[in-house]
Parts: sequence; structure tokens; C-alpha cells
Amino acid sequence: MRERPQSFKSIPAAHWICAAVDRLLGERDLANVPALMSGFGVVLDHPRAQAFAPAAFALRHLGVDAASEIMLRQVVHDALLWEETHREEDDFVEPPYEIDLEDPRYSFRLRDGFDHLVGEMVETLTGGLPFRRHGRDYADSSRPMAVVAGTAEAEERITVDLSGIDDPPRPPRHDFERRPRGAIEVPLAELEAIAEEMDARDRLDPERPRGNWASRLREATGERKFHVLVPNRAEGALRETEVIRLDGLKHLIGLPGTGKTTLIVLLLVWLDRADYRTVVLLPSIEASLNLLGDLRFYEADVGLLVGQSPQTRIDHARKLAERIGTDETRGFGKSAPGADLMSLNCALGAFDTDPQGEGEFPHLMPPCTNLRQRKLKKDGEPGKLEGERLCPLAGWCGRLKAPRELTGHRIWLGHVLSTDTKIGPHFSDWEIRYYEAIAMTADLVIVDEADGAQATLDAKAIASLDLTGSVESYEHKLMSDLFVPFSAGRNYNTATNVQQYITAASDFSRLNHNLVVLLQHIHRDTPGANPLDRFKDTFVTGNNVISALFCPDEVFSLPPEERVKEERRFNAIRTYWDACAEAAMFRRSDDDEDIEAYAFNPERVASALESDRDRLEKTALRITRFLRKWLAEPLPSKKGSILIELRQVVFELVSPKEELGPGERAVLFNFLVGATTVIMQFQTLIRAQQAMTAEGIHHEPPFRGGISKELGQVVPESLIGRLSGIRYHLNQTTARPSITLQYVSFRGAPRLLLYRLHELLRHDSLNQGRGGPNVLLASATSFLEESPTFHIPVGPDLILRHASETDGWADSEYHFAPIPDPENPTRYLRYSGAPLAKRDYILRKMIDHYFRGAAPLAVAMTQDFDPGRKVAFVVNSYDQVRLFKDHLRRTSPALAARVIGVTNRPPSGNEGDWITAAQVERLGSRPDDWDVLVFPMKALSRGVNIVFENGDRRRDALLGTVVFLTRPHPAIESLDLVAGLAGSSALGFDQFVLPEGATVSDMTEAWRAARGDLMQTTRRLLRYPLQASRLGPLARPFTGDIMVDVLQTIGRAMRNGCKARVVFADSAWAPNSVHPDPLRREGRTSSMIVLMRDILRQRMNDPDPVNREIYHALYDPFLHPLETCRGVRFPDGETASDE
Amino acid sequence: MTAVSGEATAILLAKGFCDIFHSVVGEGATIHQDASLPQSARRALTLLSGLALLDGCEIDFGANIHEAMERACMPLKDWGLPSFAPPFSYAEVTLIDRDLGVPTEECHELASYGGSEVALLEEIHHEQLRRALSTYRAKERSRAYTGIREFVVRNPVVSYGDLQRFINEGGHVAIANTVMSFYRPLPAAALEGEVARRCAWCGSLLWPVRDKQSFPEGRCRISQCRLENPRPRVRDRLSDTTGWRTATASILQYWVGPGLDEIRIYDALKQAGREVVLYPQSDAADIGVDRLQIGIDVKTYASPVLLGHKLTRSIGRLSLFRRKIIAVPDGKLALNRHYLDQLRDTYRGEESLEFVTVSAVIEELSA
Repeated sequence: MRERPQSFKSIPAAHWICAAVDRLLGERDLANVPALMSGFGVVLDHPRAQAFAPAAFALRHLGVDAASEIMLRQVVHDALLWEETHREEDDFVEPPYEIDLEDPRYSFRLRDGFDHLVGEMVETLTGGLPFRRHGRDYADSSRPMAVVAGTAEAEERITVDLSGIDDPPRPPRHDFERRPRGAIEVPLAELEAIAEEMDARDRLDPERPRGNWASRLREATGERKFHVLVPNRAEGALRETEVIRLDGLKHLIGLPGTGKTTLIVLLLVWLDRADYRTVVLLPSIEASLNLLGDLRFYEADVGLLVGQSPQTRIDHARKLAERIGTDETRGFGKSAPGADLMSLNCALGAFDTDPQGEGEFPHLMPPCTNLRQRKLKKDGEPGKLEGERLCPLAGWCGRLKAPRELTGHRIWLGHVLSTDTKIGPHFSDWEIRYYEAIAMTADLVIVDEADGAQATLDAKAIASLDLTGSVESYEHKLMSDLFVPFSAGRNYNTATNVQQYITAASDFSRLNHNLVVLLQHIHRDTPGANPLDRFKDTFVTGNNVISALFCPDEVFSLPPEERVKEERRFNAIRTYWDACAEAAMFRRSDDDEDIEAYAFNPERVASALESDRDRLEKTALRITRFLRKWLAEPLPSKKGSILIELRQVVFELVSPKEELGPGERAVLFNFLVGATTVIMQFQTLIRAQQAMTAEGIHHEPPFRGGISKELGQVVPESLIGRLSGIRYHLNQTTARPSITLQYVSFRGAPRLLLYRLHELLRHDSLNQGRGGPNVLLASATSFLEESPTFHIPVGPDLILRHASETDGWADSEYHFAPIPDPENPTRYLRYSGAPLAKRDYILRKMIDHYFRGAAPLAVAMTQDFDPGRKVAFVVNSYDQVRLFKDHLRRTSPALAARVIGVTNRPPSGNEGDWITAAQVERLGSRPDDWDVLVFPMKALSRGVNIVFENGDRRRDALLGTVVFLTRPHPAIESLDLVAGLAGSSALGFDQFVLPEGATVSDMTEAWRAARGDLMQTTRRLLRYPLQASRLGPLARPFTGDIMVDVLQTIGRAMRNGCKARVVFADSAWAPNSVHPDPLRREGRTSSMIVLMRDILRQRMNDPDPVNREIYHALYDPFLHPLETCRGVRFPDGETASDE
Repeated sequence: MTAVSGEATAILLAKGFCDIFHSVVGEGATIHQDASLPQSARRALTLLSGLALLDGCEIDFGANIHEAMERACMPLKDWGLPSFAPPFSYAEVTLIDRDLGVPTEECHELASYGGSEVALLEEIHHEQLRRALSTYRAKERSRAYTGIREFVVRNPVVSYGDLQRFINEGGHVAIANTVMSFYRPLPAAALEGEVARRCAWCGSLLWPVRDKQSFPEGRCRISQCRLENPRPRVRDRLSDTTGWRTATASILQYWVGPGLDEIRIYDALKQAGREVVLYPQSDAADIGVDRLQIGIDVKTYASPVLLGHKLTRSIGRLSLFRRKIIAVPDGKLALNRHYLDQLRDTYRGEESLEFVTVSAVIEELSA
């Protein structure tokens, strides 16, 4: 966080923007500001806009949000409101610019006499803003101090007395003066020497499994086991290199088992010895702890970078505990490397002066930064006011060991999200986050499984907040922060904005209740299927409801002309409805005579709705009038009558879908009114939250959960802006179901952190020229152009390839093996796409197929393909794993114990046949008491290896056969694809290069076009639950994303170059291939197996020869068995099974 | 500052590990550091952290249950914690069997000492006093024991000067540390602003409570005192609290609370001219009258049934007395008017016991 200049507090933000565009770009209006303030490199690194870049960096860090037209409008309106509010004050000084609100471009004029001030303002912005100092003191350990536990309403105070102990040393601080050392060159020969040294170290500790590092690099014959290749784009070929050069942003790819992990470990030890500062971002904290244990053994100087919020710490500690508790002792008497860095108990508790008192010491939320103690006055007496102090044990306690030791370690291991953590005030004088410290001081950042890290960051662009229905909800917060204090007497704050906030908040409460009551009634009155079921637990925007109410289900399957017409009609309804609702919501007491102030184009809407302009206008005025009446009416019965009249008015203009019955129409319409008003009111409120925090109403802004505000200021704003909507969840675990309403929104483009980390502070005037870390993005599946979520469009610059062409994986075989329906043997079991009510039944029948009989097929599969390796069954969810195990326990109890289920909640009395994802890696050292592993595809994090730990096959894949029992499919409410598309579009735009002669207006146009494209795609996706059959042209990116996960899963059975057998059991994988007509073949989009094959084939024919070679190196092991997948009737008849 | 005892920490650790073993591992669950960790284990870890800090260790031994358990597979003396090094009584003890992943026999044994932390500390105090007195000549031992217990009961909050004077003038200099360990500085949590208030009835502290309307002057924490005197009254206010000490929580609960009625009987009988002794024969009874003629034990059990069973099993050294009286506070009858009947009905011991209220015993024996 940056220091706010004094002058920033007294001049509204809009004037700072005016000053910057005026002086730095010579602009006279704010039309280009949204594009300039979005933070994209394509704009700010362009020669025509470069001058503005430091100002944009500073303004964004000052919290000025003007990255869209709506945001900019708010900033401008705020400035005018500020002028109006303060004009009468004695010390009022007019701000420097006069902004024309009526001009849609917001032209501005410099008022006379402000030249000098504007010069100073611009100098402030371009001169750079220093990091803010936190100014926190340590508590004085010679005097008692208080720990405050519990909620604000029920505060418990616990007095702690440390007098009598010697003050522990103050913790060390981060050294931010250190500068990155620039490009790094690593000779492979030196890595081989390191490998020899590590082997020598292994020999000193015969108890520990050996790493055999040297033999991982070379065969006994002296041949290299894998080659490090670099592309020579001029020659169009990959060339072997003896030196790895890390300079700026680099992309390394290599199949699992090609030596990626080996290379990274050796590289880290080499870097450590050469005194480099390296940060490694791994797929999980568990993976970090594994590597930490190894690196500690080889005496590398390594520490753990891990999130420090109480909940994050508990979550990680839980996973660690599960790893420790793998065996039958459940971890009794055991620990694990790195456990010392995951401690939760607070040492202060030992000095509680009243351990038998009423308050329980808050070990899980300890007072590291908020001990209460009064400051001493000059006369040595304690003052009246208590301040928040830092814990004086921070230099010693075990709980803060990880962040404390990080100050001195050369290697930091952690998760990509851990970088968005504030450095504790004990370890830095500045308010600074780890990614900033890394950008300033590290020499190299390695992102392992970078495509997974990218997906994780994309997912963080989505923020959510419960609106009502839980104690964490915004409504509850409004009660505790606003209404309760106000009603209890804290009513002295009469500022207009606070009054507005109170009014808007009580309206928000009413609208929430209205929607909740509506949902409760609907679910009570129609307990079976009801028209809102499709919205339950999914992302609801006004768009979704409008679509359900007025538009055909299968728009994509309509002929092109009709489809375009329908889309135009949909857009017209949406614009029209939103405009009427806005008029009613935000101009409550107006009585409109015409629609001049309405935000829609009457001609366009009338044409799309096939109506006339006059009728459209009159209806709009009636809709608004009824909505206003509905908003004002307190009596529920009267409200209901108004809603009926309103519905009639709307339906007279726009006919609802014919197939909907009158009851369904009414429910959907009422839901539309409820959802629209709640969303609009929430957006009004949330815009004011920063101001309310500044006013002291909230302790912190209530709406968070995505990336931190600070990270949002350093990466570009999302191209889809602040797309937002609600979800509702019906909790039926109790006799009286409750409803939670949740708001979801997209914010920022955090994936760009990976691509900009090496030059993150390039626009920060105070840190320009210090350079940045080199960044190495490493993965096995990060190069697949069709996948918006996982593709890394950089390089690739380093490729690891097996030296030997005769690897075992060449013998891999894939089978499409659908299971005959026992009730009708002419048909095959299809799980994906089956009606919900039938799915469990189908899954049970599938399980029976593999586990019934004297010689169950699943057991036979451990012997008939590479004997000794196990069988994996891949399903879609933990619930399916539970169903799998429960069914086996009833039907094949003897076998059930030999089937290990991966779960998120091990059942009580677990006898070892249930494990958590954190325990999976230990399967390799488990006794041979199991045959089968069942897991949801997404449950196992990347980097988790299931390999033989001992014996002749050490490091070989323990899983030999992978059965995809169901076709993988994200949940219908999943936002992953939207997040991936948003992330990849933002990255694409950021990397785009505009011609040198492009003007700032051209940049705005390019930005608008990129936004428009993405908005269109996103709207399409959000209008429907995510179903493969409804995706139309988006089926390709959809498949691209899924196939990366599928290939990752298959890759688990290919570790160390092993062959794998893959079985696709759900007939949904290739539905035409089970058609009774033997001549029926798959189409291009009917089968995901065909789609996957075609995507890989297309990649193998990439026009760029280097890319082509890389794709071959990456995907040959998958493409060949896919092309020969038995049982699939491929459309082009190229396989043996077709003959 | 809270003193952390190595002995209590070791025992609580043993208890915490046994609780984990039975309530977590026994249920087939995994040992976590979160809210599922038994409270006994969490408290033991905290005390272990405190001990490590006080011992000047560089490592916080109690921050993490997994690390503590792994360390517990070694004898305590090898932990690197000075408080656990010889001559520490349990230095040789290993708490966890690494190979089997179970608490050791010794761990179970240690865990069986005492109940709660407070009860455990009381036993430790009692044992400390007994051990300290063992250096006295046999003849003086009983007198010293009585003197010290009586002083503590009569002075739950005492000025440092008076405490020193008692130690010097009572001839307890040799065991001064033991006596001092029964007290601690006044905790900040007990103060209202900068001021401590003493209870008019028992002399211990009146602690501030959240319900200030009902208890504007704070509340006494001795339950026996509260039962007899529901309305708190302030004896005096101590504005400079630095020179004052209060008995520790375990001493207040196990010595001062029950001691109030013992002192009441003792004072009344003494005033009546009886030959009366507190804690005769090193605590064979609470009050002895006419040497071994009458022994009185004051019992404050909430349940007469449990007390009856306990006495049926053993009455301890009360059997040394010819007439054996079990006196219960009068307040018990206010809560349960059949208390004495139920006690008589439940008691099945061979010794002949009399069950009366404190008032009744005073009335009878001072007549």
C-alpha cells in the first residue's frame, strides 16, 4: 500500500485524472480514461501513452477506480458532489478543473490560477509514491496487555502479563534494498556436479531413500536421459543446449517424467549455492512442504511462504495433519518436515493471568498484531486510550516462525496465492505484500505447474459475498456496523453520504427479505420440481431470468437468421427492463412524463420487439410507475397485487415463452423483479463501501474475497469489468430450510501477475531501473492453444524431451468400453446427460460391472496390464466417491476394503480405506493392501505423484489403468470456463501490440472491441447452465480445458515413462459409437474423444515448425493411443476399430 | 506474571496426549491442530511454550502438537528444556511409544495424577508442602503444616510485607519458596482500573464481571463464600497493588474455599474454650477437638450421593478419632433440604459417622 499525499485528501480524484491526462497526454476530455486506467500493457507501454503510465500506476495505487465508463462516471459525479457539499465551508478552495457533466466525453477546462497546483499534482503522481509505513509499536512486555477475543458484540478480554520474562529479541526485517541480479546462466555440467554432491550426501544417511540424482540425468552408458532444448525460430527447429539461460519471462515445458522436477531441484541447490534469491510457486502448500523437506536435507537455505490469515493457516495445518495421520496411528507420535512452520498454538496463552476466567484464549485467532495496551504518558502513567500493539513474542514464537524465517532465507517455497499476502508488520516497516517484495528483490521466480497456477489466479478474479442468510452476510454486517451502533446512540455522524448509506441499506434489507420470502414460498409450495430449480446454486443475472422467461431454450440450434433475431430481441428486452428498473429504483419519487431520461434507444428496442415507439414509451412509463408503487408499498398483499398488474403490463408488450404455464410465468417474473432490484441496490451500496470505511462505519470494506485490493491495483482490470450477479442456495439440512443469497462478481485479471512479475514495478517511478526477477513458468500441459484456462502463450523457451524414443509410454492403450445396460443389453449405460433422478442408479450399475462376480474385472485389471500396478477410477465429485464406496460395502464387502476412496471428510471409524487428497502421495509406501483408488478428477492437485516408493520400480507410476467412469464435466454452476476465457482475453489484449502510430483514441477503440468480444461470449455462457450440448462454438475451448485435466490425470499413470491403459466407460464419451446401427459414426462434435483427438491433430499440424515440434514432444504419447482408441467409430474411418 | 511449573506441564502433557489418544485416535479421526484438539492438550502445549520461554530456550516447544508429540517419543530429559532436565522428577519419563504410536504406561500413570489443571496444581502444592516439611523435626511438622494452611485460608490476599513477616516469625524461612509459591501478584484482570477490591467475607479478591449492574463492586470467586453471602461487599480497596499477593487459583479452590467453614468451626469452638486444633496430625482431619476425641471433616460436595460413595470407600485418617463428624456447609441444605438424609442413606461404610451441618456442629460443641 502506498502513502497518500496530503494534497490527495483535499482534491477530488477526478481532478487528479484531469491533471494527468491534460499535462502528460495533452487531452482535454476524459473519454480515453477508462482504457488508460485499466492498466493494460498494450496501452501503457505504447509510446503514445507511456508518459501517462507512472500516473496511472500512482492513481490506481491511490484507489482511483476509473477503469470503465460507469466507474469514471462515478468518479466525476463524486467530484461534483464534493464541490457542492464543501462549497459553503469557510476554507473551501475550488478544485482546479471545471468538468462538463453534460458532455458524454467529460470535457474539462483548467480554471484560472491553478497552473502551478496542477504542475505539483502531476509531479506528485509521476514522482512515485513510497510504501506506506504502518507505524505500529510493540506492546511493552513489562506491563499487562489485553487480548480481545470473541465478536464485537460479545467481547472477551483476557489479560496477559509477561513481566518477569526477558524480552525476546525483536524479529528480523526484510531487506528491501536488495536488487535482482539480472540474467542467470546455468551450465548443465554444473547441475550434474551438484547431482553428484547430493548423491554423496545421500550416502551419509542410509536410512533415507536415495535421490539417485546423477542417474536421473544420465544412463549407465553415459547418455543423457533427457535433453534440454531451446527453439531456434530462424531455423524452425529445436536445438539442444548445454546452458540454461534465464532472462526475463521464460516458459519451460516437459512431459511428466521427463525430468522437470529433477531439473528444478538441482537448479534450486545450484542457485542457493550461488547466493541467488529464488521463489518457487508450487501447486500446493503440501507440495511446498515436500520440497522443503528435501532441500533442507541438502542444506539449502529454504523457507515457506504461506498465507497468514487464521483461516488459511487452519486449512493448511489440516492438510498437513492429514498427511501425518496416514497410517493406523493417525499421526500419534509423528510429525513431518515443515510441521514446525505450520504451528497454530499461541505462546501468549501461558501468560494469561486468569486461565480459569470467562474468556477462552483465542489460539486459532491469536493477537499477533492487535494486543491492546495503553500508551504511557510523558509522566510515565498509562494514558486513557488503548492502542493496538504488536506481540512482543513475535521474534520467538513458533506460530510466526515461517514468516519470521522468510526474512533471511534464500529460497522461498509457496503457493501462488500466498504471494498475495501482506508481510506481517513485525517483519517490515512498510505495508507491503509478498509479490511486491518478490518483484523488488528476487532473482528468479519459478512457477511449477504454471498452467494450474494460472487457473487458480483466474478463479480469484471471482469474488463473492453472502448478501443475506448467514452471519457472514453483508446484511448482517450492516446490522452490526451500522444499525446497531446508530440505534444505540452513535448517531452523531450526520454526513449526507452516511445518511444515504443508511437509507440504501434499509432498502437493501427489505429487498433481500422480499426475495428470500419469494424463494421460500416457491420452494414450500412446489416441493418437487419448480421453475426456479435451474437457478438454484447457479449464477443468476437479470439476463438468465429474462432468457428463461422470454427466449427459446436452444437459441444456438436455431437457423442463423432466426438466431440473430432472437439475440437482438433478448438484448432489447434486457436493455428496456434494466432502464425501467433503474428509473424506478434510483428516481423513486419522480413522476416521469416521457422516457428522455431512460437508458435505451427507443427506435432500436421497438424494432427488435416488433412494436411501435409510442406503445413502447407508454409501457415503459407504466412499468416504472408500478415498480415504484411496488417498492413503496409496505403491505405484502398489496405488493402482490401490484406485481400482478406489473406482470400484465410487461407481458402485453413482450410475450413470455409459449411452453411456460401461467404459474411458471408468474414465478419467473416475480423472481426477475426480486433479483433485479436486489442486484441494483447492492451495487449502489457497495460503491459506497470505501467511503463508509473511511467514515469509520465499517472496519474494513465488506466485499472482498477475490484478489486483494492491492493486487487489483497492480494487475489490469478485468476486460468484462465488474460483471456481477447473484446465486441462491437452499439449505435443506434442517427441518425448516433456510436460504442464502450470495453476490458474485468478476474483478481484475490476476493471471497477468505471472506474465508481468518480471517487470511489475516498471511504471513505479520510485522503483524504475531496479530490474525485476527472472520468471520461469514450468508445466507439462501449459501449451494447448484451445484451452483458455491452461494455455500459456509465451515461448516456449525451454523444452525437456526424453532422449530415448523407445519409452514405455509408446505401448499405452486407450479403450472406449461402454457398459451394457443390465436391464436392456442392447443399450449402454450413459451417465453424463442422464436425468438427475437416474444418475445414481446408472453409477451403481457401472460399479457392479467392474466389481461383481467371482473374478471381478477391477481386480483382474491389476494383473492383465503391467502386473502389480493399480487401477484408478475417476469420477466427478466426492459425493460420487461416497456412493461408490457405500455401494461396494453393501454389494462386495470383501472387496470394499481394498478400494480406497479419496474424500474431503473421512468418515468416523475410518479403517484406512478412506484417505484425503493430502494423503494420496503416501500410497506408494503403503502396504500392498489395496487394488483400486477412486477419486474425483479435480481433487488431486498437480505435482502429486502416485509412484512406487521402493523396490525395482521405484518412481514408476503406481497406477497402471485409469478408468474414466463418468465423462468429466464441471458442475453446471461452474464459472471456471468464464474465468478462463476472461483471463485469456485479458492476457491476449495485454500482449497485443498496436501500431506505433496508434493514437490514444485508437487504444480506447481496441480496448472497447476486446471488451465487446468478451462480453458477448460471457453473456452467452451465463445465460445457460454450463452444459456441453448447449455450448455451440464454445465447445472447443470447453473441451480444451477439460482435456488438460484429462491428460493430467492420464499422466499420473505415465510417471517415469510408464505405459498406461485408459478406459472410457461412460457411453457419453462417444454416443454414436454405441448406436445399434453399426454404420452410425461419430460426428466432429458428438464425442469428446474425437474432439480431443482432433484438437491434438490440429496442434501437430501447427504452421510454425517449432511449435509443431513442441506439440509432438508433448502430445505424441497421448495422440497415438487416442487415434487408435478401441471401440470408437471415428468419423473419418482411420482406425482399426472402424474396419 | 504466571509461574509455569515443569511438573504440572509434564503431567498435563501426559493427560493431553492420553485425551488425544482416546478421544481422537480412538474414534478413527486424525489429530488436528484446529478446534478438534482436546482442550487439555491445547492448554498443555501453551504451558510448554511458556516453560520454554521462561527457560530461555530458542525453540517454542509448544506451538505445534505434531512436533510436541514427536519430541514426546524421547525421554523428557532429552527435549532440551532445562525444566525437564535432571533432577526433574520425571526426567526419565517417555510419554509416547514411537513404534506403536500409543501413550506409554508412564504417560497413563502421569495422566492419572489430578483432574483439572487446578486440581493438579493443588496436589502439587500439597506435595510440595509435605516434601518441604519433611526437613522439619517430626514434632514441629504438624504445627508448621497447620500454621501455614491456616495462614493461607485467613489471608487469601496478603501484602508482601505481611507474608514475609509470617515466614520469618513463623520460622518458615527454610521453606519460604514453597510458601511463596502459593501466591502470585495480583492479576491485572482482577483490577477495576488500577484498584483491587477485597471481599468483606473471605478476604479474597472481588473480580470485575460483565454484569456490572448486578455486581458493581465485582464478585468473589470462592463458591463457598458466594453461597453463604450472595451479596458481595467490599472489605477494602487496594490502590497500589504492586506490593500485594493473592493465593493461586488452585489454593483458592482447594484450600481457601473449604477452609472458610473449617476456620469458622475452629474459631467458634476456640472461643467456646474447647481444646481445638486445625489440620491435626498433618491433615488427618480438618479440625481436631480434645486431641483424638473428635475429628471433624468439612465436605463441600454438591452431590450427597457421590460424597456417600466416597466415604464408603474410605474416610482416610479420620478413622484415628473416636468420634467422627462430617460437616457440610449450611448452604448445601438451602439448595437441597434432603442433603443430609441422602448422605446418610448412601453411606455404607463400617465406621460410624455423624452427618451434620456446620452450624449444628458449632452449636453442639460450643454449648
